[in-house]
Amino acid sequence: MNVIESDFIQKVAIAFQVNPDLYEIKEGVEEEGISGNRHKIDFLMIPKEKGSKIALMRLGDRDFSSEVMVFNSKTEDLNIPFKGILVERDLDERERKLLEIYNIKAVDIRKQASYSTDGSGSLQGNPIFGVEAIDNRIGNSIKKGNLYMVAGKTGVGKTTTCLHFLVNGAKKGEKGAIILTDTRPTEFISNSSSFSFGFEAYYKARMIEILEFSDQIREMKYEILSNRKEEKKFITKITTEIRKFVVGNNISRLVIDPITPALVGEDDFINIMMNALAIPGVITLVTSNVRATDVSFFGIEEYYCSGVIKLEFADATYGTRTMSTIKMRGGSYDPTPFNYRITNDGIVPAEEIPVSPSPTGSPILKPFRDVM
Amino acid sequence: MKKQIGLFLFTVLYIVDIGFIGVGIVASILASYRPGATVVDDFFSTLFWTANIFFGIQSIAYILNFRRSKSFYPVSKENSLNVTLRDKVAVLVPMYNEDPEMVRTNLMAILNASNEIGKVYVLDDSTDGSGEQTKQLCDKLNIPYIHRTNRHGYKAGALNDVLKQIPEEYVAVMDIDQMPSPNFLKETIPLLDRDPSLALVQVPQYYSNLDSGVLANVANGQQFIFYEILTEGKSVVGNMFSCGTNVVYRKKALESVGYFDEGNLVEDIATSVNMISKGWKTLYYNDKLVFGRAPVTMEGYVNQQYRWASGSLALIPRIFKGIIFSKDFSIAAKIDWVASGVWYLYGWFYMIFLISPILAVIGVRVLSVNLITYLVAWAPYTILNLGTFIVTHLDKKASLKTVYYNMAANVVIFPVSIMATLGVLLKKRKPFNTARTGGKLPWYRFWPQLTIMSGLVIAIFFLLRSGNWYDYITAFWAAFQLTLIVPVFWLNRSPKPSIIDAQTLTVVR
Repeated sequence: MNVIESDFIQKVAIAFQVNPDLYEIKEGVEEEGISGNRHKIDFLMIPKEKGSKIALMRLGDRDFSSEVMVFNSKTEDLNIPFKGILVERDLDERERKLLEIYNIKAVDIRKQASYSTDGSGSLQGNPIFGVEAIDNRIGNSIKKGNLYMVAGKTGVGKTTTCLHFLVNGAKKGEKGAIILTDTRPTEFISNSSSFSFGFEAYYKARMIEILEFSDQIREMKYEILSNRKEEKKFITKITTEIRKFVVGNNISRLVIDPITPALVGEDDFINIMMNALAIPGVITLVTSNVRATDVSFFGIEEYYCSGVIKLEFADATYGTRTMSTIKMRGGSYDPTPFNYRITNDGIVPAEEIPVSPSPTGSPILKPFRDVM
Repeated sequence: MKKQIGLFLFTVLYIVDIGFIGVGIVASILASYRPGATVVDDFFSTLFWTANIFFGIQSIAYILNFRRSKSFYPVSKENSLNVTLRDKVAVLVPMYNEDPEMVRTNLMAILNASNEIGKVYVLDDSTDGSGEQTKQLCDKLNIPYIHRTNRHGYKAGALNDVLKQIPEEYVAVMDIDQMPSPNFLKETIPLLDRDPSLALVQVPQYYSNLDSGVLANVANGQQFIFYEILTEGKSVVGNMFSCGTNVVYRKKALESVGYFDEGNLVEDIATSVNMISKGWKTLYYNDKLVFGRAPVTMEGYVNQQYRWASGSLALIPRIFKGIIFSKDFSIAAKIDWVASGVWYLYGWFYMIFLISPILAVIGVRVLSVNLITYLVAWAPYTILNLGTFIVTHLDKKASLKTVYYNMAANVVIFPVSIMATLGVLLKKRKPFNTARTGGKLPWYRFWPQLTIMSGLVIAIFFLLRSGNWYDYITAFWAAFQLTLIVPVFWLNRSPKPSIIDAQTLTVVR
């Protein structure tokens, strides 16, 4: 089994929704059970402090159900409540049912597959978002050490785009963090967890961290609004703390959602702040509401990013939206807009949905599908 | 137009002021040696007169610097764009037994400022085992970590050891208690690029923890005169010296003087004196680009002031040799160097002022004058001096509180200056302590201040009872001095945590 140990721990941690930092792994452990018999376990995840052990079995060549039953009885005898089976193939319906009965989790240890959902098979871009249409367009251009902006009106899917970005990173073993500047964290967690693409599991496994600024930062901002001389102190404080967290927690994908509350509408200020948020080794994504121009709030943010992705509402009836790339420095990108909808699976292509005038008799005001 | 009138009024004020400093000094000589005075009277009058000369020189240097700062200082910013900065700057971060948490935080700010521009080098001389943690952090960040065990030459030695081996053209020095703004290098490097005769660019050390208590504000008040007025003036004539941190040097200039001066406690000023003596220019760039922390404990403050005082005092011979007796400097520049060179003797002269009213109680009359001399020379001199000081500060946007704190800052710790002078004269070696150490000091350590205070209170009552108009005036000045020394009671307290050190980014779980 050629998996890097940390990557392995991470995958198990995600399946069991535990913090990978708190566990260490041992291979080929033999322990004595309650019955007095000694059992060999392929892998044992042992908590560093408190918590329960996790027993893991490698799936061999023998009959699936007998292997599972033997493994189950071993763990019962050893009194290990958490059980997992390492698989390198898709399980069928019967196998999944069996695991469910014995309360055994399947841990897929295959290297993260490229997109298997589409028929064409090959993927050109580097999977950054894990949404094929987006990655095909800009995946190649997104580079570590740069800052990118996702701009659009409320409800158009900025945060959802960022969630895809974080979850796809976490799948590849890249830790992510999202800094919430204007949403209540509890509300954010419950909304984000309702998506099916795995945010909750990665959050629980601490592969995605959620952060917020304390009220002190707001006080500081009021101060600088009354005394512009303090501006750089504010920028220095914010960017230092962010970098400290990013470095201290090995974060490689950072989201600030939205960036606007951390900014003051002044060229120098935005320039310095955005430049400092481009951290070496990290992809930073910031979201922005739109007001001054159709891609930003103050009308200057776009100059200081390496790329800008614009999200717009396209058709109210079907809740379709359009994503287009306004700017992307370095590398080629495909500028064709991408029509999408937001469902439980997050961002999904909307090409197949006809964009047509609404049928008669429908109400004049049609609410957009509520995203977050 | 309004600006021109303002400038004209200021110029008139300078001339009148400098004139009256002269008149005041002459008048005080005349007044001191009045007929019928005892030897003791004359002795103390001489001291008083010396103190007046000392503060007279300081005032002239102050006024000259203010005038330069006001009329000639503005440094344009427009050229600071479009310069290739990459791979030109080494950012040296010397440390010695630091708090690991502070290192973790401030190193991030330093990295933010160096993004794609500077290469950061950590020079750790720690002896307390904190080095291991710092090394791990540096390894993770891919920063060169240089640990010395011999501490040869202290900070200057640590800098020199690395300097000789690195290729970069410019060298920034950042103490680890400083947080540079992300654009620190981007704004300062182009200034060096523009003018090849410039040896260094210094930016202010701005105290960003003023919410931690009165002491930080007092320390800030004391800094204000330096970083807002004196340094701007010094910069205009190229007299600015490096303050050891928040500074970018041209490596060639350092090379020309044999790198940092390892023979002095204040290697920054010593090295600057060496460079200026060699004809290099220096520049002060007054923008809040680096955020430091004021000392928050009395012990830390006293340590800092003691170190600055003894280091500067030890430099006096060199300043005289390299600058005052040199033909290459103007009279104005020399006055300025004399003033800043001898400044840390201030404790002795404050002490003379402080005890003068008290001496009246035991019958010693310092500087008795008649009413005419008083009104013509002495009163205008004092009022003008004090007035100019306050007006110029307000003009530089200081609050009245800052002015008060500034005046109080030096009076309150006058014994530190005295101790430092004695330390230098007796060549005492005091262990090196930073401003970040220490806590509250025991009250008995303040016996000089407390004695003076009680003496002043007694003197005020004594003088008010005498019924003599001159004694009333002395009582007034005694009361004035009392208000400047009283803050000692508010300074020796435990600090509050400052927002600049607060963790404002929190993980939601």
